[in-house]
Amino acid sequence: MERTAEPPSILALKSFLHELLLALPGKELGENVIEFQRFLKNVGLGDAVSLGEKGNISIEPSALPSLNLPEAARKILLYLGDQMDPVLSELYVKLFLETYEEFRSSSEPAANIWLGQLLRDCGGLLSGYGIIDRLPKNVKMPQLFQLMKPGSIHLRKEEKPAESYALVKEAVNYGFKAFCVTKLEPSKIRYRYGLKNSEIIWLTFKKAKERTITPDDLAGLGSFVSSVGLGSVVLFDCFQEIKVVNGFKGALEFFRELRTICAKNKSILVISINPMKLTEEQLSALDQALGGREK
Amino acid sequence: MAGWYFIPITLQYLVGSGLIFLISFFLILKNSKSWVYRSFFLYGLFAGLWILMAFFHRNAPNAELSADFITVGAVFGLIFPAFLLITFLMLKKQSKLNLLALLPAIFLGAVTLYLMPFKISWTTFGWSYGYSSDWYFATFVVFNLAYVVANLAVGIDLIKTAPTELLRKKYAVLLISYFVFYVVAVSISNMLLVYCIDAPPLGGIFSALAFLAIAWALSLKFNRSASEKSSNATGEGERSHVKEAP
Repeated sequence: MERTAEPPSILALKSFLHELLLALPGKELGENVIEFQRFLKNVGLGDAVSLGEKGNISIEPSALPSLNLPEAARKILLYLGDQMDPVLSELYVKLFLETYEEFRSSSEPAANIWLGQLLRDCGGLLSGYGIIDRLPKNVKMPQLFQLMKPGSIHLRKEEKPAESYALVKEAVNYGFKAFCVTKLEPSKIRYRYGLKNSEIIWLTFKKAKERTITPDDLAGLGSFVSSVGLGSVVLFDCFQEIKVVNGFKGALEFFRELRTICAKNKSILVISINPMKLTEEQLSALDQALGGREK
Repeated sequence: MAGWYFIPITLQYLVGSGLIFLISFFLILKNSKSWVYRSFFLYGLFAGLWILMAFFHRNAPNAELSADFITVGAVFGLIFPAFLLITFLMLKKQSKLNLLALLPAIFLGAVTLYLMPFKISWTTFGWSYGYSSDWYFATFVVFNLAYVVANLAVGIDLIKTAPTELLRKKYAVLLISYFVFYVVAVSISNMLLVYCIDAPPLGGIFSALAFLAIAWALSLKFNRSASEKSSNATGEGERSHVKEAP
Protein backbone atom coordinates (compact mmCIF):
# COMPACT_ATOMS: atom_id res chain seq x y z
CA MET A 1 0.00 0.00 0.00
CA GLU A 2 1.39 3.39 -0.95
CA ARG A 3 2.13 5.71 1.93
CA THR A 4 0.45 9.11 1.68
CA ALA A 5 2.97 11.94 1.82
CA GLU A 6 2.54 14.33 4.72
CA PRO A 7 1.82 18.00 3.95
CA PRO A 8 4.58 20.54 4.73
CA SER A 9 2.63 21.97 7.66
CA ILE A 10 2.50 18.57 9.35
CA LEU A 11 6.22 18.07 8.75
CA ALA A 12 6.85 21.54 10.17
CA LEU A 13 4.70 20.70 13.20
CA LYS A 14 6.65 17.49 13.81
CA SER A 15 10.00 19.27 13.52
CA PHE A 16 8.82 21.98 15.89
CA LEU A 17 7.51 19.51 18.46
CA HIS A 18 10.66 17.44 18.27
CA GLU A 19 12.86 20.47 18.88
CA LEU A 20 10.60 21.57 21.72
CA LEU A 21 10.97 18.17 23.38
CA LEU A 22 14.75 18.47 23.14
CA ALA A 23 14.77 22.09 24.30
CA LEU A 24 12.66 21.57 27.43
CA PRO A 25 14.67 21.41 30.65
CA GLY A 26 14.83 18.38 32.94
CA LYS A 27 16.08 15.72 30.54
CA GLU A 28 18.01 13.87 33.24
CA LEU A 29 14.92 12.74 35.13
CA GLY A 30 12.57 12.90 32.16
CA GLU A 31 10.70 15.96 33.41
CA ASN A 32 10.90 17.34 29.86
CA VAL A 33 8.68 14.50 28.63
CA ILE A 34 6.11 15.19 31.36
CA GLU A 35 6.12 18.91 30.52
CA PHE A 36 5.92 18.08 26.80
CA GLN A 37 2.80 16.00 27.33
CA ARG A 38 1.26 18.77 29.43
CA PHE A 39 2.04 21.17 26.58
CA LEU A 40 0.38 18.88 24.00
CA LYS A 41 -2.74 18.66 26.13
CA ASN A 42 -2.90 22.42 26.63
CA VAL A 43 -2.56 23.25 22.95
CA GLY A 44 -5.15 20.63 21.98
CA LEU A 45 -2.72 18.19 20.36
CA GLY A 46 -2.91 15.55 23.10
CA ASP A 47 -4.97 13.11 21.03
CA ALA A 48 -3.34 13.74 17.68
CA VAL A 49 0.35 13.63 18.55
CA SER A 50 2.11 10.64 20.01
CA LEU A 51 5.57 10.29 21.38
CA GLY A 52 7.38 7.18 20.18
CA GLU A 53 9.57 4.86 22.21
CA LYS A 54 12.72 6.60 20.99
CA GLY A 55 11.39 10.12 21.43
CA ASN A 56 10.19 10.44 17.85
CA ILE A 57 7.06 12.48 17.19
CA SER A 58 4.26 11.03 15.11
CA ILE A 59 0.80 12.24 14.16
CA GLU A 60 -1.97 9.69 14.26
CA PRO A 61 -3.21 9.28 10.64
CA SER A 62 -6.76 8.93 11.93
CA ALA A 63 -6.46 12.32 13.68
CA LEU A 64 -5.25 14.18 10.57
CA PRO A 65 -8.66 14.99 9.04
CA SER A 66 -9.90 16.59 12.24
CA LEU A 67 -6.63 18.31 13.15
CA ASN A 68 -7.22 22.05 13.40
CA LEU A 69 -3.69 23.21 12.74
CA PRO A 70 -4.39 26.98 12.64
CA GLU A 71 -5.94 26.73 16.09
CA ALA A 72 -3.01 24.64 17.32
CA ALA A 73 -0.53 27.20 15.92
CA ARG A 74 -2.42 29.97 17.75
CA LYS A 75 -2.49 28.07 21.02
CA ILE A 76 1.21 27.19 20.75
CA LEU A 77 2.07 30.90 20.40
CA LEU A 78 -0.13 31.84 23.36
CA TYR A 79 1.25 29.00 25.51
CA LEU A 80 4.95 29.57 24.82
CA GLY A 81 4.75 33.38 24.49
CA ASP A 82 8.20 34.95 24.28
CA GLN A 83 9.93 31.86 25.68
CA MET A 84 11.05 30.31 22.38
CA ASP A 85 14.79 30.25 21.75
CA PRO A 86 16.11 31.16 18.26
CA VAL A 87 16.18 27.56 16.97
CA LEU A 88 12.69 26.79 18.24
CA SER A 89 11.26 30.12 17.08
CA GLU A 90 12.65 29.54 13.58
CA LEU A 91 10.80 26.21 13.46
CA TYR A 92 7.68 27.89 14.79
CA VAL A 93 7.89 30.55 12.08
CA LYS A 94 8.09 27.77 9.49
CA LEU A 95 5.09 26.00 11.05
CA PHE A 96 3.12 29.25 11.13
CA LEU A 97 3.88 30.16 7.51
CA GLU A 98 3.15 26.66 6.18
CA THR A 99 -0.11 26.58 8.12
CA TYR A 100 -1.11 29.99 6.80
CA GLU A 101 -0.22 29.05 3.21
CA GLU A 102 -2.25 25.85 3.35
CA PHE A 103 -5.14 27.59 5.05
CA ARG A 104 -5.07 30.34 2.43
CA SER A 105 -5.07 27.87 -0.43
CA SER A 106 -8.19 26.24 0.97
CA SER A 107 -10.01 29.47 1.94
CA GLU A 108 -8.38 32.88 1.70
CA PRO A 109 -11.07 34.87 3.57
CA ALA A 110 -11.06 32.42 6.48
CA ALA A 111 -7.26 32.45 6.58
CA ASN A 112 -7.23 36.24 6.70
CA ILE A 113 -9.80 36.32 9.49
CA TRP A 114 -7.59 33.90 11.42
CA LEU A 115 -4.50 36.03 10.79
CA GLY A 116 -6.35 39.21 11.75
CA GLN A 117 -7.45 37.68 15.02
CA LEU A 118 -3.92 36.53 15.77
CA LEU A 119 -2.56 40.00 15.03
CA ARG A 120 -4.96 41.44 17.58
CA ASP A 121 -4.19 38.77 20.19
CA CYS A 122 -0.42 38.62 19.87
CA GLY A 123 0.82 40.98 17.18
CA GLY A 124 3.86 41.84 19.29
CA LEU A 125 5.01 38.22 19.34
CA LEU A 126 4.34 37.74 15.63
CA SER A 127 6.40 40.82 14.95
CA GLY A 128 9.11 39.87 17.45
CA TYR A 129 9.59 36.41 15.99
CA GLY A 130 9.84 37.93 12.50
CA ILE A 131 6.66 36.26 11.22
CA ILE A 132 5.15 39.54 9.97
CA ASP A 133 8.18 40.23 7.78
CA ARG A 134 8.00 36.78 6.22
CA LEU A 135 4.32 36.72 5.33
CA PRO A 136 3.62 36.83 1.58
CA LYS A 137 4.03 40.36 0.18
CA ASN A 138 0.41 40.54 -0.96
CA VAL A 139 -0.95 40.15 2.58
CA LYS A 140 -2.26 43.51 3.79
CA MET A 141 -0.76 44.52 7.11
CA PRO A 142 -1.77 47.41 9.37
CA GLN A 143 0.61 50.38 9.08
CA LEU A 144 1.61 49.96 12.72
CA PHE A 145 3.61 46.81 11.96
CA GLN A 146 5.76 48.71 9.47
CA LEU A 147 6.54 51.25 12.18
CA MET A 148 6.99 48.99 15.19
CA LYS A 149 9.78 46.74 13.97
CA PRO A 150 11.47 44.60 16.63
CA GLY A 151 14.50 46.41 18.05
CA SER A 152 13.45 49.78 16.63
CA ILE A 153 13.69 53.07 18.49
CA HIS A 154 11.29 56.00 18.10
CA LEU A 155 12.34 59.42 19.23
CA ARG A 156 9.19 61.53 19.21
CA LYS A 157 9.44 65.28 19.59
CA GLU A 158 6.26 66.66 21.10
CA GLU A 159 5.30 69.14 23.77
CA LYS A 160 3.05 66.63 25.49
CA PRO A 161 3.44 62.83 25.22
CA ALA A 162 -0.11 62.30 23.92
CA GLU A 163 0.96 61.05 20.50
CA SER A 164 3.48 58.63 21.92
CA TYR A 165 0.84 57.20 24.22
CA ALA A 166 -1.59 57.00 21.29
CA LEU A 167 1.03 54.99 19.39
CA VAL A 168 1.53 52.68 22.36
CA LYS A 169 -2.24 52.33 22.78
CA GLU A 170 -2.56 51.31 19.14
CA ALA A 171 0.24 48.79 19.61
CA VAL A 172 -1.59 47.36 22.63
CA ASN A 173 -4.70 46.99 20.47
CA TYR A 174 -2.58 44.86 18.16
CA GLY A 175 -1.45 42.54 20.92
CA PHE A 176 1.81 44.24 21.88
CA LYS A 177 2.64 44.32 25.57
CA ALA A 178 3.36 47.84 26.76
CA PHE A 179 5.58 49.08 29.57
CA CYS A 180 5.76 52.77 30.43
CA VAL A 181 8.18 54.75 32.53
CA THR A 182 6.46 58.03 33.33
CA LYS A 183 6.92 61.28 35.21
CA LEU A 184 3.19 61.37 35.94
CA GLU A 185 1.16 59.41 38.44
CA PRO A 186 0.44 55.98 36.84
CA SER A 187 -3.30 56.13 37.62
CA LYS A 188 -3.52 59.34 35.55
CA ILE A 189 -1.73 57.68 32.65
CA ARG A 190 -4.07 54.69 32.80
CA TYR A 191 -7.13 56.92 32.87
CA ARG A 192 -5.96 59.51 30.34
CA TYR A 193 -4.53 57.16 27.73
CA GLY A 194 -6.56 54.00 28.37
CA LEU A 195 -3.57 51.77 29.14
CA LYS A 196 -5.42 49.73 31.75
CA ASN A 197 -3.44 46.51 31.59
CA SER A 198 0.01 47.88 30.90
CA GLU A 199 2.78 47.98 33.46
CA ILE A 200 3.54 51.57 34.41
CA ILE A 201 6.47 52.68 36.52
CA TRP A 202 6.48 56.07 38.13
CA LEU A 203 9.78 57.95 37.94
CA THR A 204 9.80 59.85 41.19
CA PHE A 205 11.61 60.37 44.47
CA LYS A 206 8.28 60.01 46.30
CA LYS A 207 7.19 56.81 47.98
CA ALA A 208 3.88 55.53 46.66
CA LYS A 209 1.67 52.46 46.46
CA GLU A 210 2.43 52.24 42.74
CA ARG A 211 5.72 50.81 41.51
CA THR A 212 8.24 53.65 41.60
CA ILE A 213 11.85 54.17 40.62
CA THR A 214 14.07 57.16 41.29
CA PRO A 215 15.50 59.11 38.31
CA ASP A 216 19.05 58.50 39.52
CA ASP A 217 18.60 54.70 39.50
CA LEU A 218 19.70 54.20 35.92
CA ALA A 219 20.85 50.63 36.64
CA GLY A 220 17.35 49.78 37.93
CA LEU A 221 15.75 51.34 34.87
CA GLY A 222 18.14 49.42 32.63
CA SER A 223 17.35 46.14 34.31
CA PHE A 224 13.61 46.88 34.01
CA VAL A 225 13.99 47.37 30.25
CA SER A 226 16.14 44.20 30.03
CA SER A 227 13.35 42.21 31.65
CA VAL A 228 10.83 43.25 29.02
CA GLY A 229 10.07 40.40 26.64
CA LEU A 230 10.37 40.09 22.90
CA GLY A 231 7.95 42.18 20.83
CA SER A 232 7.02 44.51 23.71
CA VAL A 233 6.94 48.30 23.63
CA VAL A 234 8.68 50.44 26.26
CA LEU A 235 7.74 54.11 26.46
CA PHE A 236 9.73 56.79 28.30
CA ASP A 237 8.01 60.16 28.70
CA CYS A 238 10.56 61.39 31.23
CA PHE A 239 13.73 62.24 29.32
CA GLN A 240 13.78 65.70 30.90
CA GLU A 241 13.67 64.32 34.47
CA ILE A 242 16.45 61.82 33.75
CA LYS A 243 18.47 64.64 32.15
CA VAL A 244 18.01 66.99 35.12
CA VAL A 245 19.20 64.37 37.63
CA ASN A 246 21.96 62.68 35.61
CA GLY A 247 23.04 65.45 33.26
CA PHE A 248 22.53 65.47 29.51
CA LYS A 249 25.56 63.28 28.81
CA GLY A 250 24.51 60.72 31.43
CA ALA A 251 20.96 60.62 30.02
CA LEU A 252 22.22 60.27 26.47
CA GLU A 253 24.57 57.45 27.43
CA PHE A 254 21.71 55.72 29.30
CA PHE A 255 19.38 55.82 26.29
CA ARG A 256 22.19 54.59 24.06
CA GLU A 257 22.47 51.56 26.35
CA LEU A 258 18.70 51.07 26.20
CA ARG A 259 18.90 51.04 22.42
CA THR A 260 21.40 48.18 22.58
CA ILE A 261 19.22 46.29 25.09
CA CYS A 262 16.10 46.71 22.94
CA ALA A 263 17.92 45.63 19.80
CA LYS A 264 19.12 42.50 21.61
CA ASN A 265 15.72 41.70 23.15
CA LYS A 266 13.80 42.63 20.02
CA SER A 267 11.64 45.05 21.97
CA ILE A 268 10.63 48.54 20.81
CA LEU A 269 11.68 51.75 22.51
CA VAL A 270 9.57 54.92 22.28
CA ILE A 271 11.03 58.09 23.79
CA SER A 272 8.90 61.20 24.04
CA ILE A 273 10.92 64.40 24.31
CA ASN A 274 9.85 67.99 24.55
CA PRO A 275 12.02 69.88 22.03
CA MET A 276 11.27 73.19 23.77
CA LYS A 277 13.30 72.03 26.77
CA LEU A 278 16.40 71.07 24.80
CA THR A 279 18.94 73.17 22.94
CA GLU A 280 19.60 72.70 19.22
CA GLU A 281 22.91 70.99 20.01
CA GLN A 282 21.24 68.61 22.42
CA LEU A 283 18.51 67.76 19.91
CA SER A 284 21.05 67.09 17.24
CA ALA A 285 23.15 64.96 19.63
CA LEU A 286 20.03 62.97 20.50
CA ASP A 287 19.18 62.44 16.84
CA GLN A 288 22.71 61.33 16.15
CA ALA A 289 23.01 59.02 19.14
CA LEU A 290 19.65 57.35 19.00
CA GLY A 291 19.18 57.47 15.26
CA GLY A 292 15.52 56.67 15.66
CA ARG A 293 12.49 57.66 13.71
CA GLU A 294 11.56 61.17 14.39
CA LYS A 295 8.39 63.12 14.21
CA MET B 1 42.29 16.43 64.57
CA ALA B 2 44.39 14.81 67.31
CA GLY B 3 43.41 11.26 68.17
CA TRP B 4 41.46 10.57 64.98
CA TYR B 5 42.09 7.22 63.34
CA PHE B 6 42.44 6.64 59.66
CA ILE B 7 41.36 3.18 58.51
CA PRO B 8 42.33 2.93 54.80
CA ILE B 9 39.27 0.85 53.82
CA THR B 10 37.00 3.66 55.05
CA LEU B 11 38.31 5.88 52.28
CA GLN B 12 35.52 4.28 50.21
CA TYR B 13 33.04 6.35 52.26
CA LEU B 14 34.75 9.60 51.27
CA VAL B 15 34.88 8.57 47.60
CA GLY B 16 31.23 7.42 47.70
CA SER B 17 29.93 10.58 49.35
CA GLY B 18 32.08 12.82 47.11
CA LEU B 19 30.65 11.17 44.02
CA ILE B 20 27.09 11.50 45.33
CA PHE B 21 27.56 15.21 46.16
CA LEU B 22 29.11 15.85 42.76
CA ILE B 23 26.21 14.33 40.83
CA SER B 24 23.57 15.88 43.08
CA PHE B 25 25.02 19.41 42.87
CA PHE B 26 25.52 19.10 39.11
CA LEU B 27 21.84 18.25 38.69
CA ILE B 28 20.43 20.90 41.00
CA LEU B 29 22.55 23.63 39.40
CA LYS B 30 21.11 22.72 36.02
CA ASN B 31 17.50 22.46 37.20
CA SER B 32 17.23 24.53 40.38
CA LYS B 33 13.61 25.57 39.83
CA SER B 34 12.17 22.09 39.53
CA TRP B 35 10.62 20.36 42.55
CA VAL B 36 11.53 16.97 41.09
CA TYR B 37 15.20 17.93 40.99
CA ARG B 38 15.04 19.60 44.38
CA SER B 39 13.79 16.39 45.98
CA PHE B 40 16.28 14.31 44.00
CA PHE B 41 19.03 16.64 45.19
CA LEU B 42 17.95 16.10 48.80
CA TYR B 43 17.92 12.35 48.17
CA GLY B 44 21.55 12.60 47.06
CA LEU B 45 22.49 15.08 49.78
CA PHE B 46 21.16 12.92 52.62
CA ALA B 47 22.55 9.71 51.10
CA GLY B 48 25.95 11.44 50.83
CA LEU B 49 25.76 12.76 54.41
CA TRP B 50 24.79 9.30 55.63
CA ILE B 51 27.92 7.85 54.03
CA LEU B 52 30.08 10.72 55.30
CA MET B 53 28.81 10.18 58.85
CA ALA B 54 29.76 6.50 58.52
CA PHE B 55 33.32 7.61 57.69
CA PHE B 56 33.52 9.83 60.78
CA HIS B 57 31.91 7.13 62.90
CA ARG B 58 34.53 4.58 61.82
CA ASN B 59 37.51 6.90 62.39
CA ALA B 60 36.35 8.89 65.45
CA PRO B 61 38.93 9.36 68.26
CA ASN B 62 36.64 7.82 70.89
CA ALA B 63 33.51 5.70 71.30
CA GLU B 64 31.32 8.64 72.45
CA LEU B 65 32.04 10.72 69.39
CA SER B 66 31.68 7.65 67.19
CA ALA B 67 28.22 7.04 68.71
CA ASP B 68 27.27 10.67 67.98
CA PHE B 69 28.25 10.29 64.33
CA ILE B 70 26.43 7.00 63.83
CA THR B 71 23.30 8.47 65.48
CA VAL B 72 23.25 11.50 63.18
CA GLY B 73 24.14 9.22 60.25
CA ALA B 74 21.20 6.94 61.10
CA VAL B 75 18.85 9.96 60.90
CA PHE B 76 20.20 10.85 57.44
CA GLY B 77 19.92 7.17 56.49
CA LEU B 78 16.23 7.29 57.39
CA ILE B 79 15.59 10.50 55.49
CA PHE B 80 17.17 9.79 52.11
CA PRO B 81 14.78 6.96 51.05
CA ALA B 82 11.91 9.35 51.89
CA PHE B 83 13.30 11.84 49.37
CA LEU B 84 13.57 9.16 46.69
CA LEU B 85 9.90 8.42 47.34
CA ILE B 86 9.10 12.15 47.09
CA THR B 87 11.06 12.35 43.80
CA PHE B 88 9.00 9.48 42.37
CA LEU B 89 5.77 11.07 43.63
CA MET B 90 6.76 14.46 42.18
CA LEU B 91 7.38 12.80 38.81
CA LYS B 92 3.84 11.45 38.94
CA LYS B 93 2.14 14.58 40.27
CA GLN B 94 3.66 17.72 41.69
CA SER B 95 2.06 18.47 45.02
CA LYS B 96 3.25 19.76 48.36
CA LEU B 97 1.34 16.89 49.96
CA ASN B 98 4.11 14.59 48.70
CA LEU B 99 6.27 16.03 51.46
CA LEU B 100 4.12 14.12 53.95
CA ALA B 101 6.24 11.10 53.00
CA LEU B 102 8.94 12.66 55.18
CA LEU B 103 6.92 12.49 58.39
CA PRO B 104 7.73 8.87 59.42
CA ALA B 105 11.45 9.47 58.79
CA ILE B 106 11.41 12.69 60.82
CA PHE B 107 9.51 10.98 63.65
CA LEU B 108 11.90 8.03 63.87
CA GLY B 109 14.85 10.39 63.36
CA ALA B 110 13.76 12.38 66.42
CA VAL B 111 13.38 9.16 68.43
CA THR B 112 16.87 8.08 67.29
CA LEU B 113 18.42 11.39 68.37
CA TYR B 114 16.65 11.16 71.71
CA LEU B 115 17.51 7.52 72.47
CA MET B 116 20.94 7.25 70.80
CA PRO B 117 20.32 3.48 70.64
CA PHE B 118 23.77 2.33 69.48
CA LYS B 119 26.50 0.47 71.30
CA ILE B 120 29.96 1.09 69.93
CA SER B 121 32.88 -1.32 69.84
CA TRP B 122 36.35 -1.27 68.33
CA THR B 123 37.12 -3.64 65.42
CA THR B 124 39.89 -4.26 62.87
CA PHE B 125 38.14 -1.70 60.62
CA GLY B 126 37.68 1.07 63.16
CA TRP B 127 34.61 1.65 65.31
CA SER B 128 31.56 -0.45 64.62
CA TYR B 129 28.07 -0.44 66.08
CA GLY B 130 25.25 -2.64 67.26
CA TYR B 131 21.72 -1.86 68.50
CA SER B 132 21.28 -1.47 72.25
CA SER B 133 17.50 -1.69 72.09
CA ASP B 134 15.61 -4.57 70.45
CA TRP B 135 12.36 -2.66 70.07
CA TYR B 136 14.17 0.27 68.44
CA PHE B 137 15.85 -2.15 66.03
CA ALA B 138 12.45 -3.71 65.21
CA THR B 139 10.87 -0.28 64.67
CA PHE B 140 13.84 0.79 62.53
CA VAL B 141 13.44 -2.32 60.34
CA VAL B 142 9.66 -1.79 60.01
CA PHE B 143 10.03 1.89 59.01
CA ASN B 144 12.77 1.05 56.52
CA LEU B 145 10.73 -1.79 55.05
CA ALA B 146 7.77 0.55 54.70
CA TYR B 147 9.91 3.01 52.68
CA VAL B 148 11.29 0.15 50.56
CA VAL B 149 7.78 -1.12 49.78
CA ALA B 150 6.49 2.43 49.06
CA ASN B 151 9.47 3.19 46.82
CA LEU B 152 9.03 -0.10 44.97
CA ALA B 153 5.28 0.41 44.53
CA VAL B 154 5.51 4.01 43.28
CA GLY B 155 8.70 3.32 41.30
CA ILE B 156 7.24 0.29 39.51
CA ASP B 157 4.08 2.23 38.70
CA LEU B 158 6.21 5.07 37.33
CA ILE B 159 8.15 2.64 35.14
CA LYS B 160 4.97 1.00 33.89
CA THR B 161 3.29 4.27 32.98
CA ALA B 162 6.38 6.02 31.55
CA PRO B 163 5.56 7.19 28.00
CA THR B 164 8.91 6.26 26.43
CA GLU B 165 11.43 3.47 26.57
CA LEU B 166 14.12 5.94 27.62
CA LEU B 167 12.15 7.09 30.64
CA ARG B 168 11.35 3.52 31.62
CA LYS B 169 15.08 2.79 31.51
CA LYS B 170 15.93 5.86 33.60
CA TYR B 171 13.34 5.13 36.28
CA ALA B 172 14.23 1.45 36.32
CA VAL B 173 17.90 2.24 36.97
CA LEU B 174 16.94 4.71 39.73
CA LEU B 175 14.79 2.11 41.42
CA ILE B 176 17.12 -0.84 40.87
CA SER B 177 20.20 1.07 42.05
CA TYR B 178 18.35 2.02 45.22
CA PHE B 179 17.01 -1.49 45.75
CA VAL B 180 20.15 -3.47 44.89
CA PHE B 181 22.77 -1.25 46.49
CA TYR B 182 20.98 0.45 49.37
CA VAL B 183 18.41 -2.16 50.31
CA VAL B 184 19.89 -5.57 49.49
CA ALA B 185 23.65 -4.93 49.60
CA VAL B 186 23.70 -2.55 52.57
CA SER B 187 21.26 -4.81 54.48
CA ILE B 188 23.54 -7.81 53.89
CA SER B 189 26.56 -5.73 54.89
CA ASN B 190 24.79 -4.55 58.07
CA MET B 191 23.66 -8.10 58.90
CA LEU B 192 27.25 -9.24 58.53
CA LEU B 193 28.28 -6.52 60.98
CA VAL B 194 25.61 -7.62 63.45
CA TYR B 195 26.70 -11.27 63.35
CA CYS B 196 30.40 -10.74 62.70
CA ILE B 197 31.57 -7.47 64.12
CA ASP B 198 34.94 -7.74 62.34
CA ALA B 199 33.44 -7.95 58.83
CA PRO B 200 34.81 -5.28 56.46
CA PRO B 201 32.43 -2.33 55.89
CA LEU B 202 31.31 -1.96 52.27
CA GLY B 203 28.61 0.76 52.42
CA GLY B 204 30.79 3.37 50.68
CA ILE B 205 31.48 1.10 47.71
CA PHE B 206 27.80 0.25 47.36
CA SER B 207 26.84 3.93 47.47
CA ALA B 208 29.42 4.83 44.85
CA LEU B 209 28.15 2.01 42.62
CA ALA B 210 24.54 3.11 43.16
CA PHE B 211 25.28 6.67 42.12
CA LEU B 212 27.44 5.61 39.16
CA ALA B 213 24.44 3.65 37.90
CA ILE B 214 22.21 6.67 38.54
CA ALA B 215 24.65 9.00 36.74
CA TRP B 216 24.61 6.66 33.76
CA ALA B 217 20.79 6.61 33.73
CA LEU B 218 20.58 10.40 33.98
CA SER B 219 22.97 10.84 31.07
CA LEU B 220 20.71 8.88 28.70
CA LYS B 221 19.11 11.19 26.15
CA PHE B 222 16.93 10.91 23.09
CA ASN B 223 19.03 10.36 20.02
CA ARG B 224 18.63 13.66 18.15
CA SER B 225 19.63 12.40 14.69
CA ALA B 226 17.62 9.16 14.83
CA SER B 227 14.41 10.81 15.92
CA GLU B 228 14.93 13.77 13.61
CA LYS B 229 14.90 11.36 10.69
CA SER B 230 11.47 10.20 11.74
CA SER B 231 10.14 13.70 12.26
CA ASN B 232 11.60 15.04 9.01
CA ALA B 233 10.35 12.25 6.78
CA THR B 234 10.01 13.73 3.33
CA GLY B 235 6.72 14.27 1.66
CA GLU B 236 5.49 16.46 -1.12
CA GLY B 237 3.06 19.18 -0.25
CA GLU B 238 -0.46 17.93 -0.13
CA ARG B 239 -2.61 20.76 1.15
CA SER B 240 -5.77 19.17 2.38
CA HIS B 241 -5.28 18.45 6.07
CA VAL B 242 -5.72 21.92 7.43
CA LYS B 243 -9.11 22.47 8.89
CA GLU B 244 -10.65 25.87 8.52
CA ALA B 245 -10.84 27.89 11.66
CA PRO B 246 -14.39 28.41 12.87
